[in-house]
Amino acid sequence: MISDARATGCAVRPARPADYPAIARLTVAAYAADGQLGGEHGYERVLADVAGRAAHGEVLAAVDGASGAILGSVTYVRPGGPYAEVSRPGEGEFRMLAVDPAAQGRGVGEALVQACLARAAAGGCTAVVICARSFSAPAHRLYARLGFVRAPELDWSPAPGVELVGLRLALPAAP
Amino acid sequence: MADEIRAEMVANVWKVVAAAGDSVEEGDTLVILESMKMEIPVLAESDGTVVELAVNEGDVVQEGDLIATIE
Repeated sequence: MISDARATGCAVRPARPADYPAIARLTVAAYAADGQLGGEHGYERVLADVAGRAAHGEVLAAVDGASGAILGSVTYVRPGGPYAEVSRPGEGEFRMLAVDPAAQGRGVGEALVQACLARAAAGGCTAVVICARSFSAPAHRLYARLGFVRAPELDWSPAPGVELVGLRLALPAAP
Repeated sequence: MADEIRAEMVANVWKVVAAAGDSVEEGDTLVILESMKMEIPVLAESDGTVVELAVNEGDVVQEGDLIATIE
């Protein structure tokens, strides 16, 4: 599925191993810029392990239509696999959505989420569920704009100071 | 005395750092879990030898699952 390149100037395609170093860098940079990497529980090494998550899901890359530069990435996780954390059977899930801080505000994140929604719909999922850090205003704005609603039953606090907010987007039933 | 190290939360086993037969000291990292936007090292709680490393990378552990046994 290729997103609408006219709207965002970017296209979404499956990531290739040659993309992994750039995806690792921009993912860590985006989470750091959002204030998500402070505190005692590091996440940098996991975020940088693109090959590791590629084994358990589909890593997507958003690519600048003109320069070919990698602008962002997301992982559409395999249902029931180790990277699936909030989804149940019949639900889609994505993780590690990140847009290069220098490319934010262009619709890159939306294009990546739309690519995940398309995959979930194609896979017959009834909904897509995710969780986001409570304080991440840009993430919550993006997800609300796309129609995600709060799913309090998915809220979780795995450690003091780490508040995770569950979100759900119901997908229309297949005709 | 055997010391069983168990998972404290549902998580994905991201890296296995130690192996059966390794000598470890209290505080050494045995495995690294990842879950819910965190990296969670699982540490040896005593000095000793790893007699069993019960998980593999890519496993999903549930709360209470055995991760390792140290004697």
